[in-house]
Amino acid sequence: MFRKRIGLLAVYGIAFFAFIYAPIFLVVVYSFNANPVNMMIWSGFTLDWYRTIFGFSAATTELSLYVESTDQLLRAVRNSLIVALTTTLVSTVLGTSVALAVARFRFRLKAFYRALMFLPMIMPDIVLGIALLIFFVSFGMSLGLVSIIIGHCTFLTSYVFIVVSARLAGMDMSLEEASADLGANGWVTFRKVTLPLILPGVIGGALLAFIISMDDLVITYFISGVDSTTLPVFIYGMLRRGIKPEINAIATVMLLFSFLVASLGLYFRARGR
Amino acid sequence: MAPLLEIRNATRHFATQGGAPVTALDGLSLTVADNEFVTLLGPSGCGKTTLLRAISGFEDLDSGDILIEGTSILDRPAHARPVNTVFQNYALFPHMNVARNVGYSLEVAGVSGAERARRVAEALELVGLGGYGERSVRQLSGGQQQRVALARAIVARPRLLLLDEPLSALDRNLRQRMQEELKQLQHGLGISFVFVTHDQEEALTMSDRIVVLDGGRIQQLGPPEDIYFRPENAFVARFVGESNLVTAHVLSRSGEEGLLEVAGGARLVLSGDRVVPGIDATLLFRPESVSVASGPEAAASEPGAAGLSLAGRLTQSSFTGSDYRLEIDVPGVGPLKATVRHLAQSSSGGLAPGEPVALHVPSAAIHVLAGPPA
Ligand SMILES: Nc1ncnc2c1ncn2[C@@H]1O[C@H](COP(=O)(O)OP(=O)(O)OP(=O)(O)O)[C@@H](O)[C@H]1O
Ligand SMILES: [Mg+2]
Repeated sequence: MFRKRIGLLAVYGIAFFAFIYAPIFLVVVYSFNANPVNMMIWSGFTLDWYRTIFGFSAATTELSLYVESTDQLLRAVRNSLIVALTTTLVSTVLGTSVALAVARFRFRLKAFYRALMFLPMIMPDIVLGIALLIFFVSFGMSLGLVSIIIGHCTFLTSYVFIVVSARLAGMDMSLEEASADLGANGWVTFRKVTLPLILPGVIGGALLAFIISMDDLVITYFISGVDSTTLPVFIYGMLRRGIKPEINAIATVMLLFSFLVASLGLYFRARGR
Repeated sequence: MAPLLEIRNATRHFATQGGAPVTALDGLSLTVADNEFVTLLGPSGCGKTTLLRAISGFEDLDSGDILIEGTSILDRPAHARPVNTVFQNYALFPHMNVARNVGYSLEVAGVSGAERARRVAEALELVGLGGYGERSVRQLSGGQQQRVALARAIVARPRLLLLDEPLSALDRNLRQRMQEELKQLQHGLGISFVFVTHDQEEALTMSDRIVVLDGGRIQQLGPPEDIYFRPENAFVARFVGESNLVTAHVLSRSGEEGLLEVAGGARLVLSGDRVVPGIDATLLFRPESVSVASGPEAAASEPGAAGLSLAGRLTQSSFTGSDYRLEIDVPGVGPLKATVRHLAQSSSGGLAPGEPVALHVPSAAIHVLAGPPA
């Protein structure tokens, strides 16, 4: 009876993971399929789609003619990186400072303030996107990389705040007192005691902000200008003209990149223990 | 010369949610001399930690002053005060090894690497942890962590060290060993200690002077012998050691001596300033100064002996290994405690609950408290 249940559980587990990972697995497999017309039918192994997206000529390009300009793709990648890196920097500094302030000081309406910091996380993206668009337009700001960065910072600061706050909650406040007692002023205490102890949280928050910023489509779609297309917006534009094989290669490269960033995060978390 | 530490009229209230403010320190004044071991002793919530934190700079006073060698330190932030603290939970930095923890104050003060290493090694040697420098503090036992915290606090040789219940997390044996070591260390280094505990035995063994606190106020301040044998009031008598408190009416006084009568009719003669005719005095005597005789013949024991003689009935007796602890009900007076080495043999072979007994307390062992038994 018991064994049977375990058997069922195993089947369920396998089915569950298959459900999650099969689509991703297919994308990776298709990215190596030489068939330019129907990617569901395997017609041999090729790296042509990768060559295409990185701007090298390939035998199959004639048939696909899909990425009209590799320049456009590369520019979207560059935009995405600029946005993600700037956003990560700004929101990590802001989110960490706010988390420290909320944890350290007693002030009126603290609970309310904390709730305000959580709000952007549950706010629907589409609402945030529309709101930001209206905001920028009514202030006469032109849409571009700057508007995207500001938009991303508004909600990613919250994410960093929450991750760092969790880390701070587990930190013994008497350590800072011990540091002061031993003669360290506020800044030295922050540098030598507080920051090293919350660093795993700060790095975790920064990586999260980076990944979400790189990945965001809905909000960015509203607030990006004509020549400030980011990678997700660019891919979305491609898809509207039909699914072509290069898309699989782009997706696979992005997947690899995300894995790298995530492993970095796990590595720092493990070291923080 | 100004004392090392002087606290003048320190007062601190805490607001509570919706209720009346709590008084943590209530006009407390205290001085600590060089090379002195002063213990703050008192029940939970009496303001010990608040006082210590006010000295180290983590708590403000509502009024009053704190001076070190005659200079007020109230306007100095915690990091600029010349005192160090051993925290109750040790507060070791988990991301630093033992040596870096111990050398932290030197590192912050900019002491060079070689000099720092030498002084860290010396401090570790002093607390019996020589060679532990490279260990992670997470791998240490409670007692070792305690020693690291101590080494870290003394490495810069402060004049004054504050210790907030540093031994409370240790087991009994280790605690006793650390008590001796701390006392020796204090003496050897010539640093003054302000030591917090709510363990009266610890306070009695270690201190030069004890400050008994209750409700943010000093109940008594004095050397351990005074606190134990000559408590000022009923609070101190009850808090420190086991005690018997008996109310007696002072009938008359002639010269140095007064005649007192306790409830139940027994009379005794005592001397001292506190024996004033017409008042009710509170008498204190410790269980170990009570002698107990058994048997019906003892019930009317020698009334002539100087001291207090009472008759009662044994209600409880327990053997602790070295002594017997007895509880005796005396009509009109109430239950009294007695600790005796040997149980006087009665005809039945031992003392059994319910048997009549006679108690005697010599005059010299009776201390008259100021004020009634609150
Ligand atoms: N930050 C605070 N806010 C409100 N009340 C406080 C605060 N700190 C202390 N108190 C109150 O002040 C009183 C004295 O507290 P304190 O911590 O000094 O006691 P203590 O003698 O150290 O007790 P314990 O032996 O339990 O450590 C207590 O009634 C406590 O509740
Ligand atoms: Mg305390």
